Amino acid sequence: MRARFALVAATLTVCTVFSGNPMAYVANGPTWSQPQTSYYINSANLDLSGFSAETAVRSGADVWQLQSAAFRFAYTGLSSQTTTTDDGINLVLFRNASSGSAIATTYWWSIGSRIVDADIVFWDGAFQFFAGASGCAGGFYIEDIAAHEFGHALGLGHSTFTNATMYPSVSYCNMGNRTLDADDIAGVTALYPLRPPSAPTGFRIVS
Amino acid sequence: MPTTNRVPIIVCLCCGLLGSGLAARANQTTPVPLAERARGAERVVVGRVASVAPVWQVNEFGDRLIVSVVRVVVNETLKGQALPTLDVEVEGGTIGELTLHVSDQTSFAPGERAVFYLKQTARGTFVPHLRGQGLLKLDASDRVSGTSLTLEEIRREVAAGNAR
Repeated sequence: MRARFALVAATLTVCTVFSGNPMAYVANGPTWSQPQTSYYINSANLDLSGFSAETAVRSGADVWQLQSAAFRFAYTGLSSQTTTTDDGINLVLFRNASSGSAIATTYWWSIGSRIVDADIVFWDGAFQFFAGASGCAGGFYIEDIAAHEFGHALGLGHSTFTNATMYPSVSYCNMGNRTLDADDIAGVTALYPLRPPSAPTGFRIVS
Repeated sequence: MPTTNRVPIIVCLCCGLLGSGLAARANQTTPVPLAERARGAERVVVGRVASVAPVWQVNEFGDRLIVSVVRVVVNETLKGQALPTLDVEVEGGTIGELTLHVSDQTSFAPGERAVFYLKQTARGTFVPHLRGQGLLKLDASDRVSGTSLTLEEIRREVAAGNAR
């Protein structure tokens, strides 16, 4: 069954490549007031040690800072919280449940043009998760799924570039999302423009 | 095995029907072929959104979320019992100044048309089957928004799914 889905997913990707109408990243609208926010992880899951899951989620979050320098997700620590809502606590959790064919879902809250909360749920009851860069079979690496979902959490929608981290579909054991595409970087830097070092102010020439 | 033998058929259907955009409308997912969506859904209807009423709701997991109750005037029932109107609960919406966005859901406004693949909850309400993949907005020419997929093709797929 899983092999069948993988084949279908891969085929859809190929179809899209050949018939797609190229478009760039999509901004969802609201953004954070600053180019960084903090988050917690509830690493309890069905597939891996808590430490492995925590490390993998952090790796997925970090790609946005390491590869774009435009936005930083600052890891705060572990949490035992198992529910999401608009509570000002950005949380990543694994849920022993399925949600259709979604691998993970990001819920983000905004007031006006500002994001005020973002939570990510991995649907652990439906899919097997792996960490690192080897050993995956019939599942997904957390790093790659997390990179995509954190993209939503910072304000990006789905890209139609098949190589983009923010492309909506992914094949089993894909390791491409952990490397941002130029389209992803264009998206995040459009939302959070890189600021050149400001010139020193208040200088006086003392003669 | 029959399942294995059906793979090329499903793949061909996907290539032929989905065109460029459909997979891109969903969230980070494993896309489900249309016929399979139809088979899994309890109802499939084509309808126009009459109203959207966001409410606070606590889901089965204890999440306190904004959920939009989307009232759909049914134009056509492709699967299941025909009803003139349906209320579909879709996660996300705006109450006051606060908006909840959900990455794998679709938001609706009154007047929009869509194909709804639905399942009934224990509470008797309808929710999208396969979440966002169960909601296909239609444009004025009866194509799924942003794709080349037509309503007529969806009708055929649902009929094929019903026949299997």
